[in-house]
Amino acid sequence: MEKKGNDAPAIGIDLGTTYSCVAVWKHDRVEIIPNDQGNRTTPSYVAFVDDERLIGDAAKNQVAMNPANTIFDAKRLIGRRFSDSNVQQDMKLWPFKVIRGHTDTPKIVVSYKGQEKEFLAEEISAMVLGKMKETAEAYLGKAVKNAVITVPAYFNDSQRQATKDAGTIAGLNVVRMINEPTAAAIAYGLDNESEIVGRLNVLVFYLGGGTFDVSVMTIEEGGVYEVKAVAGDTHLGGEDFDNRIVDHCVSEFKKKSNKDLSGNQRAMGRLRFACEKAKRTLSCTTRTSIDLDGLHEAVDFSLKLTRAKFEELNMRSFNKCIRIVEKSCLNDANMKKSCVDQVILVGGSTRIPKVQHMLQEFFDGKDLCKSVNPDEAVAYGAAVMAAKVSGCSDKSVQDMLLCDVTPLSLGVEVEGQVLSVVIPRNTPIPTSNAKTYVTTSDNQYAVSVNVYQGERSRSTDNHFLGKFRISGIPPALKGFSEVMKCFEIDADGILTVTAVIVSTGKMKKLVISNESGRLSKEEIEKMVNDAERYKLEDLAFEKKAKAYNDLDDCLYKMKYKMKEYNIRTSVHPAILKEMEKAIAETTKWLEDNQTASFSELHLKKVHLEFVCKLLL
Amino acid sequence: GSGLGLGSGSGLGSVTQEQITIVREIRRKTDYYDVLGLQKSCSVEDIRKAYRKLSLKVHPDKNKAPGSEEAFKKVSKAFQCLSVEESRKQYDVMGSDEPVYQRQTRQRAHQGFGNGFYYEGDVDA
Repeated sequence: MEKKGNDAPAIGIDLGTTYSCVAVWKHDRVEIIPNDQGNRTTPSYVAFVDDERLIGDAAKNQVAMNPANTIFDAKRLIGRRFSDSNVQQDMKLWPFKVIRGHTDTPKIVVSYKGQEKEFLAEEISAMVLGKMKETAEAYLGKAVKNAVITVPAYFNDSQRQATKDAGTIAGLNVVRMINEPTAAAIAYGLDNESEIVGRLNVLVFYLGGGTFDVSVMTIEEGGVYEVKAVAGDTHLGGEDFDNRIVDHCVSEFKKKSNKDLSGNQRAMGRLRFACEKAKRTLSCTTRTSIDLDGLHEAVDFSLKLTRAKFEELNMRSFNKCIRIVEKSCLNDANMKKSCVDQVILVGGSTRIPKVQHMLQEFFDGKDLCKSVNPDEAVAYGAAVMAAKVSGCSDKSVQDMLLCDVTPLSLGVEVEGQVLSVVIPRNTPIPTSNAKTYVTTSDNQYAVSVNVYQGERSRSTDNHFLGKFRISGIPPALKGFSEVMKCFEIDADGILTVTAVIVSTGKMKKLVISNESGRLSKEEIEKMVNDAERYKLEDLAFEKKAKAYNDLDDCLYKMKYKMKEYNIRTSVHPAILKEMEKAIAETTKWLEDNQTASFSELHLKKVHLEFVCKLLL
Repeated sequence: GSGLGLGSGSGLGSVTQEQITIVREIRRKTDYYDVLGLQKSCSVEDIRKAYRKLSLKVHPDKNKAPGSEEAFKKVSKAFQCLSVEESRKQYDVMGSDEPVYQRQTRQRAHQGFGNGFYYEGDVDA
């Protein structure tokens, strides 16, 4: 299709809740690509200010000034419903507005260029992905098309599908989606290639900014990664720890000054920022302080925070992590903790000493592996996978093989709201399985297939993925007509469901319906166009800003030149006057027309340069 | 598999005759022991080894021959069934290629648990 050799290689993107990271396979190794600020990770923040859109560091840096229009945490919204209890809980803490869109999809409301605009979480994530794409393009000097994106291992089908959609909206061809802990394991495996002899049982403990994943797997000599079991919590991470400190500060503030600051978005924004910093500090010191002058109603806030207090505030979350390691993951993998050869720490929150300590204690004092970079390992693994999928010739990349599993059981609802599991959790993917079901009434004509994902026996306690109806069952007594339901999971972990009426062979696939909260092809297309438009607007703004600066610059230079002695003596006074007039007029015009368009600015500059050509 | 065919323009096309043959062979087999190339008397370790060896050969990331995904699914299904003592026993007793799951659902049907069909309207009405 495209010209070969001219294509940029596929990139690996770790799309995180709080930070994102992009990497590429280049010169036979992985390179983490720094952004335009020189940072190797980019905040997953998007801000809308009066006339431009900011993404990454620029967006996060101005969050305290513009809390209502600075969007973060899109990953905590993506693929979820508005009525999801986690979403409802998070909304109380977010300074931006989230409303209920049609069919229960959450929509983020911002004001942009004086207008109220609504965005889906997919679109915000797409903007972050777009930024990562640009970062890679600037580094590689080529347009990037293909990417591997990572997702939490414990993401359900809706969350995966929505993340893939976000990639499409960003103009990326998502060649593969892999699980974050698996990607981290690849980073570990490749780094320690020579030391891995035979088989190694590893447990990846991934505690990031917003999600928690545990993955038990074996790495075999030669680079075969086989996931045995995954478990986790898609809503547990560094941000929750920040929020606990924020809550603590709010109640301390109330105690001291008898004022409630929780309604003051700006104060909350400043506080959250300070709490995140305090949390980081407490990973290397045992005490720190949070000082914010004039936080709320001109009252200052100052609090001494010890590491012990921080640990106390978050003990429940820490305990939960350990419980998940033991109860869900090791049990499912059928592995004793003594059989784990290596415990790999990944994600920024694994820097917390208490977390390390508790995990080490659980593994009876075993040394934890901290050799992989906790912030970059996931993007690193994604880049390796990207190289592999796009046919990189490196031997260790080509030999590598990933066998991942599906994190949650998938099934259909049967009579009595019971979930009948078709594919149990921790089944290796890609996979497919079929089950046959019978009718429950005489001459039943149609059935509706409700698809759920989760571990609870009552269907409605699980995550509803979608439904469809298949009709045209030939008349028969109940229990005699059979319908086969076939579930198929591809290598990205995404599900397709097909139902077949056995006697007639009539078939129907799960249609992506609005009810299931997923986006239709048309909707995605529209968003791709929107994203393209926003990007053009950003470019237009940059162009305009540059024209403004150019004209300003030109005026400055000319004013300076006019003062030079040889100009004043060699140029005819009438012409001098003419030039002075033009400079003064243009200066005035620029002051009065701050929002002038690119062409106006450009025209003024051309005119000025023409009148004052003697100065050039 | 939507995930796989997307790497446009990359040089992944090379498929060896051996790869085509192994995919074809596995897809032709129905018995789980046959799929893994084992005898009924084999040990759990044999099953694990055979699974690992075969999955490396037919995993769609390794083998681009047509049908490799189906072959991989078959191999992993066989492994899943035979690697767990309970399901292996059940498979040995029933001795057929019919998936264990189907039988379970039928049993439930006999118990009168309708299995899923939502009554959506009567044609005779």
